[in-house]
Amino acid sequence: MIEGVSDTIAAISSAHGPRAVGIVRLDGPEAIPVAANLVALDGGAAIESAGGSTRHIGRVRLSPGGVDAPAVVYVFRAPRSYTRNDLVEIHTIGAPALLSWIVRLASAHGARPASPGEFTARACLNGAMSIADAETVAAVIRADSDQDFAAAQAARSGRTTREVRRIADELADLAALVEAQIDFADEPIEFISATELVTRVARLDEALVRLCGPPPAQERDSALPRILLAGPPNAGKSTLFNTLLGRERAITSPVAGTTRDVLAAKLVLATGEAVLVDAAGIDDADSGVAAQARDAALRERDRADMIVHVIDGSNPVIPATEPACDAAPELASDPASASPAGLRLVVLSKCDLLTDADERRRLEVLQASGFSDVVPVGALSGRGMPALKDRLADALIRLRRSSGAVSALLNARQTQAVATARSALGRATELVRSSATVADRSELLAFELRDALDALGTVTGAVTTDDLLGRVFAGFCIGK
Amino acid sequence: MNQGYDIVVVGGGHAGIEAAWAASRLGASTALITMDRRAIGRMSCNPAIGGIGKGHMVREIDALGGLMALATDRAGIQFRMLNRSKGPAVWAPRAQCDRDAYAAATQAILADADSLEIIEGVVDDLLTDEFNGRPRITGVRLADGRPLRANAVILTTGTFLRGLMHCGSRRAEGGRIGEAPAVGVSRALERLGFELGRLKTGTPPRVHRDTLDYDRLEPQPGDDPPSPFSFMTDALPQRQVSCWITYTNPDVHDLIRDNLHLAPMYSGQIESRGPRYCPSIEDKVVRFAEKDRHQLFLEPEGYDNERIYCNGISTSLPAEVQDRMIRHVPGLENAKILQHGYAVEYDWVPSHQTTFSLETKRVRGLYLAGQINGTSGYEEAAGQGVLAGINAARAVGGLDPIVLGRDQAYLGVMIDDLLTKPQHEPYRMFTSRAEHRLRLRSDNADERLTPLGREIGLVDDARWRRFQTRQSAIDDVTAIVRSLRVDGAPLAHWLRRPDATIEAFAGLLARGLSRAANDNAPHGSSAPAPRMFDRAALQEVLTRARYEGYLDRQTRHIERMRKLEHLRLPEALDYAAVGHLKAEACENLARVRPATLGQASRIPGITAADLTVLWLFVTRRWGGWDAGSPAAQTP
Repeated sequence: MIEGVSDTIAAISSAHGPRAVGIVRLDGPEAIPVAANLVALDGGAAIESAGGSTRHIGRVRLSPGGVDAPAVVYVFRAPRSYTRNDLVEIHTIGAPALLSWIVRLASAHGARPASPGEFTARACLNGAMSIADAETVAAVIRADSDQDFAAAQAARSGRTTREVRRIADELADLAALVEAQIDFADEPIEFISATELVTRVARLDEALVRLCGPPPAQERDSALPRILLAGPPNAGKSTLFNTLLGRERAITSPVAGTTRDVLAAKLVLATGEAVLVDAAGIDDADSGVAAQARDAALRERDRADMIVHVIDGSNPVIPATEPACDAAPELASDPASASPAGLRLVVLSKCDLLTDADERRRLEVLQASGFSDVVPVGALSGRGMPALKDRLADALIRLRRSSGAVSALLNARQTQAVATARSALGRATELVRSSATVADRSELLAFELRDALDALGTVTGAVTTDDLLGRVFAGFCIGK
Repeated sequence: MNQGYDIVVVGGGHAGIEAAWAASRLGASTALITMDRRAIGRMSCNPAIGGIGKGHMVREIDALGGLMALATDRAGIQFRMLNRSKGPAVWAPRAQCDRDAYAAATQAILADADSLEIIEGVVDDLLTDEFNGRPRITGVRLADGRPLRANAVILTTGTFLRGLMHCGSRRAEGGRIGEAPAVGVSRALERLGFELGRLKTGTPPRVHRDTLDYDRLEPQPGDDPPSPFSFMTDALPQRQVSCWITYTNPDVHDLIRDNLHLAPMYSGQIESRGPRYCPSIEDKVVRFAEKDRHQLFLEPEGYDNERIYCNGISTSLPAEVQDRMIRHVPGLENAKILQHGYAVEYDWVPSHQTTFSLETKRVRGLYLAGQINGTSGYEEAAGQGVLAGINAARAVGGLDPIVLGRDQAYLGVMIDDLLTKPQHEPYRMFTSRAEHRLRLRSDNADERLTPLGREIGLVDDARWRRFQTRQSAIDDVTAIVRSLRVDGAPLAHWLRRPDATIEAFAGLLARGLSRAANDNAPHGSSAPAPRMFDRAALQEVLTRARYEGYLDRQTRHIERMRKLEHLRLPEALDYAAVGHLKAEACENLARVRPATLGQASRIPGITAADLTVLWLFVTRRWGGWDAGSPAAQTP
């Protein structure tokens, strides 16, 4: 719903999908100052001093080191504009990703992503349109909104939107439990324990973090495909990491679980560059630093475009297939899906410690377990490394080819929704951490969870109290 | 004798007595018609008032000048503040009442009302004439043929509209055991063109208190000290009694499963829907088959009353099965059932036929309150009763109705919900229904509603004086807090600590004040007498500090939405003519006929685009968009 008529709004105004030229429009009292943060005019002119109804050549201000995008900027001053407000149009390359990035940047500078039809509505209300009948305007708004709806429908199958829905659903479940604890306190039921609450809030927050993508510092690398080394502790991932990169970056030691951090470095291969990621063993450690490292590893697993599963050749027991390994073939098996390529490679490590016969036997066992394509390596002697690099180089070509589908960007409104939800969840986590008992803050916790839910609701459809109560009644026997 | 009244209230339940009380206190000559004057204020379900969300509403009714809280304080035999371990916004008072004392208390309060007459009788028909092409109420006709003239009629008929009770395959007409149904009113409503629906509710068995084995039951005592419901009550001197807890077990569940075919809800004898939050024991056993026990909460019905209400096993199984069922429950092995549980079905008027003042859209001057509007619960009924009473009296006096906002009161949330959302089960209040929950506390109902009650004319001088005293005590403490520092930081910071208590707060105030006095006092003068502080005022200041940041965030949102929330939609708006509304939106809007754009936004199936279209249409047609900013068109 339109939230106001006197604030500054921003939206992509060109048609949906890739076009040669795309338009981002800003409207409202702060339109021109906000635009100053988005574009630089040629010759260093200040957009604030531009006159009304003027055209300027400039560039979109991308992050430092990025490639500049050319832009034509139109400045209109109130009341001589389409909406009779101050209005700026930025015409630039019609790449959807670029356009939604500009809107996101605008909202970071205080503009609100516009609702469907909102520009038209403003134009109408300010009496700027020479339309005889309100119905014509309504038709325009309806068309705008239907187009938006169609776009949302199309995006529904996308991984990102699906993920937002999944998070919203889980959040609704959690909010329902917290609400139940307040509203049905006289029932002999513990709806959720403090420990479970903490865990679930944290998990949701992490899921939203993953959705937002990496923090800005890592942004530049994010364009490169990510290759994750996965495997149980002490499988030899860090040694492999160092050998592939040709340097000592990870701490390597024979103690299981030495790698406490996620290490990432650029790997140069014959066919291009990739980010090689070494994470802690994804094991069952559940406390302290080990748990954090494991969480980081799980996050990396979800971001990875390719997973190199490292099996310890010196260990006679073939480890159980772990989640990292499970996820990849599932994604790869459906090349039509819009998800990352999900490539997988299995490496048998420490082969320089094995006799040829032992190595053969291990490979046979692996084959019997369904791993037919295994690359044996010995990192210390460098054995098998050229073969491994060739395989990775081949994979890189496939990753690049599918990279069009890899980008699952959130649009500006979704980004704002996710950011709002995250800050609410962050406060929820803080509340849980800072209170002796969860009960004594439960109404505040519910407030934050509902805030987060309302924010995600702008993407997935609002979750009402009746929805929440329905979840409670379906799951618990309420009523004395 | 053909008497004329300003207002006739039909029914002496919790909605009816509040309506009659409010209307007569506002000066309207009022008649309350009941089948039996001794049944006025009777608690037909469990002998308890309040609870989470409901207790909030009782405080609101009290703050407006209603009578429910006063009656509860007089008749209560056990008081508990629920959710005490949580924040103050969700603290909720609940009281067990002496059933007979409660009815007596309400009757005694009503006896004080000057312009109220109580008439025993059964309403057989509604009398109307035509005014401006629309039916207008002119009174009611009693079963004995007597017509009673009135400018407004408030129907508060509870479960009596074509009430049908089920106990196994046995059926009996009536709204409560031993009381006849009201058939004439249903007939009259149908004749006037109202659409009627059917709802169901149930009751559990009542057992004799001398037949329980108390050693096998777990006691649940009241609070010590107890907290009163009414703002006007200082202390509750009465003795408190205990409630008792026991549980069902697999034996009970097996017995129920074996006899399920005899339960009217399962045999198809009852087709209407019961509430999900108050399922029968049959429902619990079927839907939650994995649970091996369900709680029974045994509520004494009074000091001298021999009946114990077995909350938790509401049932419509045959009496003989109920007798056997009880015997398997620990503590109830030898219990004697004095009244078996039964289910009751009754007519209601789906709320799209009602306006926000609780007047019907179809018949001018006809108001509905309580279960007839699809709610359940004494408190929900009473809340509608007080508002219907106020609005009927105001209409008779030519004044605009009072409509409470969702950010103002649970009563406002309830009416807004009833009118904008389709009901599939009897409506009950939960705090989660209130998006402004942190604002709508049970302990600030006076601040939210007493000034309005005073303006309306329902709040008497005694309450108003007491309210002003409390408010100035709060202002006083607030001012002192602003002036004091603790350990170098403003006292206000300290108040935000989660472990801040009233006792520590009072100590800090006293210390801070005496230090400040010593600093300012001329040398050698005696120390000032220590200040006393109103505990409630300290609590209020503490609570405000706790919620300050949250309320600020919410206020910003409210302010942003206010213009649109309150944009009036013309009563005569022809939604079909708006054009470009989605078909579903058009249909729902035409059915509900929201009074404001905010109400429209809460109707299911209405999208943002629909609202924008509607907004444009209305401001264009009625405000004229050349009139300047759209804000100029909002009230």
